[in-house]
Amino acid sequence: MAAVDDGSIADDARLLRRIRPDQIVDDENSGTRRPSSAAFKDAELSVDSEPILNDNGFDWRFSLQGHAGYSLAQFTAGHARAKMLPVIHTPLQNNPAHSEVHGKKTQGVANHLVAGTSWVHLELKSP
Amino acid sequence: MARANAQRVEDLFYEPTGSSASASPKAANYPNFVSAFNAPPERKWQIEVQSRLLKYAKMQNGWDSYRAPPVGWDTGMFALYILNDVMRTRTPIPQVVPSAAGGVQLEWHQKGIDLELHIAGPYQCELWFRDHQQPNDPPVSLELTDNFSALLRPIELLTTR
Amino acid sequence: MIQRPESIFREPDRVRDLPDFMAPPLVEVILSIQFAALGNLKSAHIGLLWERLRSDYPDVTEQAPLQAVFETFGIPNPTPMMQIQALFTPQLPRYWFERSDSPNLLQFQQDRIIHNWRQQPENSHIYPRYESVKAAFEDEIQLIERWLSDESIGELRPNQCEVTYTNIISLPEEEAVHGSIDRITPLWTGKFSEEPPNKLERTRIEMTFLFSHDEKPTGRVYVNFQPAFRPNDGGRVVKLDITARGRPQGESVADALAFLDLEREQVVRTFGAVTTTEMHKLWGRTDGPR
Repeated sequence: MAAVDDGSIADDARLLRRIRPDQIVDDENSGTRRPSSAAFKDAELSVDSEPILNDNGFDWRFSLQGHAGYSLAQFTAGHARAKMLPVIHTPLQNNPAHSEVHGKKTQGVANHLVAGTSWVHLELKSP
Repeated sequence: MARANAQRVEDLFYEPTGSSASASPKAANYPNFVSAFNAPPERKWQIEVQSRLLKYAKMQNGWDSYRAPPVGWDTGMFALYILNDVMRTRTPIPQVVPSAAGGVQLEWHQKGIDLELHIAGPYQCELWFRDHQQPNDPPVSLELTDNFSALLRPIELLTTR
Repeated sequence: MIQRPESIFREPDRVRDLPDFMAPPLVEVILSIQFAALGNLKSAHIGLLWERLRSDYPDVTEQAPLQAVFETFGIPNPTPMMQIQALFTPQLPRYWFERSDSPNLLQFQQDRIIHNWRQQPENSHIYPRYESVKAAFEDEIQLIERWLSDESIGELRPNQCEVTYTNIISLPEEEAVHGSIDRITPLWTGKFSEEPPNKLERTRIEMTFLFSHDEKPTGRVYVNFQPAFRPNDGGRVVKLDITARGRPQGESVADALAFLDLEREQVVRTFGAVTTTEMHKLWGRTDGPR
């Protein structure tokens, strides 16, 4: 599998990322609870491509299976590509929708991802 | 907590003018006030931050359900060194977040300020600062190694605003 | 067996214009390199390391690990670092590798390698010079790097270096040396604005200097004069510790070794500056007064 962005994941595809409770911060400036930029710092950031999940008969709940207490955030592939980050489909044996957002995540880039993120599921209970 | 602190400060910078049984008003003592205002941090932040860092240092590889390594204890120590240098009595306690890259992030999002200090390891830091009260100023994004003077202004704003 | 380079037997190169003494009061030299913690290191690995060191260091003991130290800059009047006790220390002990008849001690922990040269009472007139001590340290580091690589533990990425010179100073025919520190250091004149009501018993002096490299703050030199007693006869002495500590210019072992040289120069020049010409004569200064 070539580690290049071949565009197979469309710009409007939602990319789903699990967020641990201790990676959610209170933002008093916006009055919200949101993911910390620290949750997006991995240079090979793992996500699930929602259209591929759908193609395989799953939905966002698949991404949270076996991860009690986690929340689920999403941003679009196009939002990542706006910062020149390749979005690459890297399926795993147990996860056909697994993908990665490559590239160094400086604080500026990580905060860009945060700015384009919204909750798919926000877990309010502690695990 | 704030009310108890105010009570304590008042006791420090007022002097009794008569006996302890006297109902006379107390005289203000400015040197005592200055001394109390500039007193070293109570270290409450240390207790809170340390407990978080210890918890993160004990996490296993893949603690974020992906591939994040645990926070190194030397990274945690370095974070404490920096905070020890910059925290003042009234500086809000930062939120302490484990990073998907294996480090730790100290962050504040209040008083119209976003301040983040990502610490990947000793001397491997990134600063992110934005002041919402200066919307025309672009965010500050810097790599820091051993000089943390760039933190002074944001911390001062967080402390005094 | 640690292979000693031939250079140790040649006249060591020495930085020009560095204060030099025939008989300095030096009793211990400590060279230390701190590095990013080796997360994969396990206690079982230490046995494998000892196998490689055993011929030079047949004895090994465990000690409490040392806390990491970091010099940072840019913050005016930083608060002294509070004690964090055992919470943020390496998970494995610090290991001492030594030999009973040797002045050398090798210390190793998850984030530090330290070489101590300690004066032996029976050889009180012999000091092998920094260059020889450093050559021995360099050999030990190379051995440790090979071991780390062979066992796939990790690699050394230095982030702090430290050089300490410990001196024990006594005054000939002077019992009350603790009250005569003005003869040892120009930092203390022994003068008072008026006669104090009591006799001076002892003095302690601490100073910190900032040193720079390429006009950037790079490290600090800590000077500490304190009263002490000789363990063998209880005689009064003054202990002078000078430590230079800072971050090397790069993350390689070569960078760290080069930075040790820079720090050693800082220590020796500071030693010359904070001790009196009377003491310099006593110790046989050879490079002339500055």
